[in-house]
Amino acid sequence: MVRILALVTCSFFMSVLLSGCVPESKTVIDDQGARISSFDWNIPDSIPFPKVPANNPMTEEKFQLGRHLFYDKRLSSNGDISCSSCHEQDKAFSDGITRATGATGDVHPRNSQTLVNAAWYQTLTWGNPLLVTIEQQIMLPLLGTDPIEHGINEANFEQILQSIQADPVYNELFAAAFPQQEDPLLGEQAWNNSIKSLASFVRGLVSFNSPFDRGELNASAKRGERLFNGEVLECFHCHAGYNFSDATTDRETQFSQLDFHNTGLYNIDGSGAYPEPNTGQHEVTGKSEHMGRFRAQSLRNIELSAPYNHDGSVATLRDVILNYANGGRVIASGENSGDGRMSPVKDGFIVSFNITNSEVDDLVEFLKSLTDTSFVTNPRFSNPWLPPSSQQTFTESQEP
Amino acid sequence: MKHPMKNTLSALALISSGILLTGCGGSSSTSTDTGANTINVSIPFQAVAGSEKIACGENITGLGTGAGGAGNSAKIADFRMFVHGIKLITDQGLKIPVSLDANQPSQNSDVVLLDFRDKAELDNEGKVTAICVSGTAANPHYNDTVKGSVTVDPAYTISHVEFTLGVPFELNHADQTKAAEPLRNPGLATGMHWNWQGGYKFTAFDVLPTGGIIRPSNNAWSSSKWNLHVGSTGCSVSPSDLGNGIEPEVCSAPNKSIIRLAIGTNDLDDIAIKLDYAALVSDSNLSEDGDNAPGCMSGGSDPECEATFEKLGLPWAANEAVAQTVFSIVDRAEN
Amino acid sequence: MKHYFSLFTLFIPLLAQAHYIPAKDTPITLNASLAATWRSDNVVEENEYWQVPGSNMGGDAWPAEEGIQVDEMTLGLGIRIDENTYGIVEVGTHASGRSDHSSVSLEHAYIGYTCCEEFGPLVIEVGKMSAAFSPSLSSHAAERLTSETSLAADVFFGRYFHDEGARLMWHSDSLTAGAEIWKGNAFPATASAGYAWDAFARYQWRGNNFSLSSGAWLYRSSAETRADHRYGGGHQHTPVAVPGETIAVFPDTRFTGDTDVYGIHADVAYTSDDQYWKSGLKAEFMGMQMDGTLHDAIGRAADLDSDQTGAWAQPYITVKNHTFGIRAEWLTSDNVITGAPANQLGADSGMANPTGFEPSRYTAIWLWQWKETIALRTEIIDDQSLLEDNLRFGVGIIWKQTLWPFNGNSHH
Repeated sequence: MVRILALVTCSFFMSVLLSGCVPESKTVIDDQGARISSFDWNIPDSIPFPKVPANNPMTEEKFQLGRHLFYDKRLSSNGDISCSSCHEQDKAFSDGITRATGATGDVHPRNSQTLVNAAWYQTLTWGNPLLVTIEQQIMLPLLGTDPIEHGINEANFEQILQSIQADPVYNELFAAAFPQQEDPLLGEQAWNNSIKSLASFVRGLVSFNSPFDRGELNASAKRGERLFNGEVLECFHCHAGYNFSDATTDRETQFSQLDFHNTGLYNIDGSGAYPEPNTGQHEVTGKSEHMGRFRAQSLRNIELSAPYNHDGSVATLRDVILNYANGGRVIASGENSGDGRMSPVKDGFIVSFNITNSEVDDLVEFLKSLTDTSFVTNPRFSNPWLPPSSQQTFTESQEP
Repeated sequence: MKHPMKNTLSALALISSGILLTGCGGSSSTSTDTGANTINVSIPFQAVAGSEKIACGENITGLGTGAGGAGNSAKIADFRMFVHGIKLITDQGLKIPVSLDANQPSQNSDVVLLDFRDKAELDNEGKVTAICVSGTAANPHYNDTVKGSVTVDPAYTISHVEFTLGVPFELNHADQTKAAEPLRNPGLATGMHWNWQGGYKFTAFDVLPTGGIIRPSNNAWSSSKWNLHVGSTGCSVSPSDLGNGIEPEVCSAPNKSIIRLAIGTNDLDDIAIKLDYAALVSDSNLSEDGDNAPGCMSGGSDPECEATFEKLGLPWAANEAVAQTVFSIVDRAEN
Repeated sequence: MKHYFSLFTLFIPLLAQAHYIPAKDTPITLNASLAATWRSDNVVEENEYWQVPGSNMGGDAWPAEEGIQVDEMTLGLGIRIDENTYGIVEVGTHASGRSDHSSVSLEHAYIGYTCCEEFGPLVIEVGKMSAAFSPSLSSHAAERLTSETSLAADVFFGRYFHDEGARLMWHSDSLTAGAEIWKGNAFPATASAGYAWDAFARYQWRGNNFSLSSGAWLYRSSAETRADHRYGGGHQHTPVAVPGETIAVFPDTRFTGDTDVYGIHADVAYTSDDQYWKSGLKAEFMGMQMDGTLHDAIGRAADLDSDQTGAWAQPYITVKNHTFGIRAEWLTSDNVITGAPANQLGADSGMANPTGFEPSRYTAIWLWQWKETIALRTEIIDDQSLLEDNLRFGVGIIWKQTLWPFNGNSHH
């Protein structure tokens, strides 16, 4: 009798436990439309969409118009410079030289960057915390006077616009890109429309199809990846995330902290000074703690964009790595001499580390695995003004 | 008990004072009466370098401390500036803002672009192909006058005129390709875009000294243009922030000089504001540049900014602002 | 003496929490225990991360590993300081997935004070201690039937609860009630977010053959940028892969917000008259609510509203020296993640469980109390807590002994 009671109690308890308030398992994910876009970005699902300014939504037509303007040499004072003059597709839209020269002979103080995944950067250019959109940045090469790059000025901007307006190709492109405007090419908004479409083209330069993305690393690159992510080199701290830069922002990012870093390349006065005018973030803010701080570049396609660093003063990837291994760069003589390793304003992560030659090779091999050959040969990003026969006959392939 | 005499007297007093008021424009009205205390204001600026007028193509002499103290000679390359916040100040200290006439060329209701370059080269269609340095025709964008209107009680005596050198904060960091003229770039403000701070140059006083500019510490360096670009530095605002309703932070060095000039006993009609470039560079050597950009581009470590900012009444680096010596009131009829 | 004796009897059911008060006639006691198990398989591959779908784990919830492991080793010292006061110090080790984590640590160091027997007694304990509110949480591998901690305790509390705090308990004949307040070092709290606290009550009844102990508790805490310190949290461990393989870096997602857990538990047993056999059922049910934000280092943040439940039920029968039991466990999760990065953060943090998978685990145990201080244990575990099933065996040894006073009996 007692035993029966025991059994009954036991089973009663169990059934109470099992039946009472045990809900069903489910997960509700509400991303609030983060993956809704009328523009086909053609990026893998794991990559979040980039931020797009509200006043310049991405459309395919703007992208194509911007592409035409990007490669158009008429957008310069001497009719010989287009954006592509310093941003060549086969070099991931950099130019392979230390510093470029503008239409009037001014040499730019800094190295031309790649335009890879420009849409995902928090700020544009090497060290300017104010340039938050591509639209803002584009004003500089076109209209800047210090240095003069394209050289568009008071004496030629109207004529330059006229030459664009005279080309029948642009008639269609402008009308398609700005259908709500009455006269997007000939009207008041012409320059504004041009800047917006150029920005849309640059924004659409996406590259996420490297061997790394496809998981095709050879043994050396895998070792290099481990070094990259390891606690000795700690590359991943600044070259972090899917775009290998901590200066990344996307549609999902709510809070952005502007990240600029001093890597100990110069130390001219013993207090960490960099040579004028390239003092990085300091040039804009004037704060001494910002001396020599530059944005951490995306390492995608980095193999193609030598020479390196903000002034092109580091020739190869190997040299870049050795500078980090030393904890900074020593310049023995000349006007920029100084021991960057001793810089008091150097970033806290730049401490020296031991690395063997074969480890450097492995790391370089890993960095090479970030090269997306489909990006540099994709006809979608190439010069539309060239006759069709000289264009590549690949099909678009961004899907990993 | 009503006094008939008093009534009449009061009525007379009222009537006569009314006549007096309407009749008396006093010394504080200028140009034309637009009725009911609103008057047009038109203040010309005269840009000079000592006794010589700023003009394109001319060799202006005696500038600065170079050439052994005698001063360099130079030609004008660019000579523009933005002003805003024009006010009349009464002798009681009351500030009366001048409403800018938005229909006038080179100004809108917020800001005026003064362009002292008198010459340009034009093509068949009247478009500018060269400006100032080599120019034979009149510059269609030449503008040396601020035009507006002000509502002021004629009983007041105006003692000062005030203006601010620069572009108002909200407009200074907005999208330049969409801005209303004279802030549009490309447009009237072409060449006034300030690369690195994303705003406007408040002044573009750029000259070409004869013999060029050298740098004593660096034999390999040379330049041809001595610039004076005043603008806000230490800013942390971007147009996208403004567009998203994010409160911009004020720039750490706004560099907007507020110029207040006493007009003495003169009528507004009779005065002009003199801008003396020679006074501005009186302590600068135009054939040399110590460091940074050639001339002064407002950088905190740009040595040429020390003297020029002082003359403009601006603080620079650790220096406090002192009274400006560039602007003054002169008789309109002269020069 | 009588008081102390009754105190002892009160605490016998709480023995499972390793909670005792040294008797006056044995002012110093030293107890040791060791549980070591050989397992036939890992629950996850080496260099993979143990993440139960739908949960956000952390603390010390290390996965079971193939081979021999010392599940736990403790050495506890109890000192009776005076009539009302006593002190407990215990050091121990726990199994962990990394050699640099399993080290001897101070687990308990606290002072207790009893008083006020007129309405009570009351017991106050202050120091570094284990939590007393949940029997699952204070169980040790050397004391409970199974070698592996329950899934609910692993997932909701990171397996162990050692923290600095204070505890107040009130005892009457059959009722115990208590409250604890903690500094917040123990998962799922973080110390930076303020105090964590809990309250509990327990009822005990003892008859001739039956015994019943049942209780309920509530635990509330807050966390600020809480990391999964097993694998992430500032000092990332980069696992080294076998040549030819790559390993993903652990996504260091953090949680900021409140975690509230409530539970009910019961322990029913029937002992035969001649004490030859005993049968019973132990069970506990927990419900957890997380309300806060998931976020990561690159500024992405998404709101999280999570309702999870965990339960285990363990019927057993003990005949002479042998105990046979089965432990069945279940987890459910109902998570709502809102925000633009909801997809990524949900996947990175482990909270996303898109298929509605419901983890469960069944363990069958045979424990043979071979000698008074040594037991041998054999287990079969059908582990369906991850998307891939895992079946493993365990053979283990348990040693428990009171080293001082040396009479071979372990009351600890």
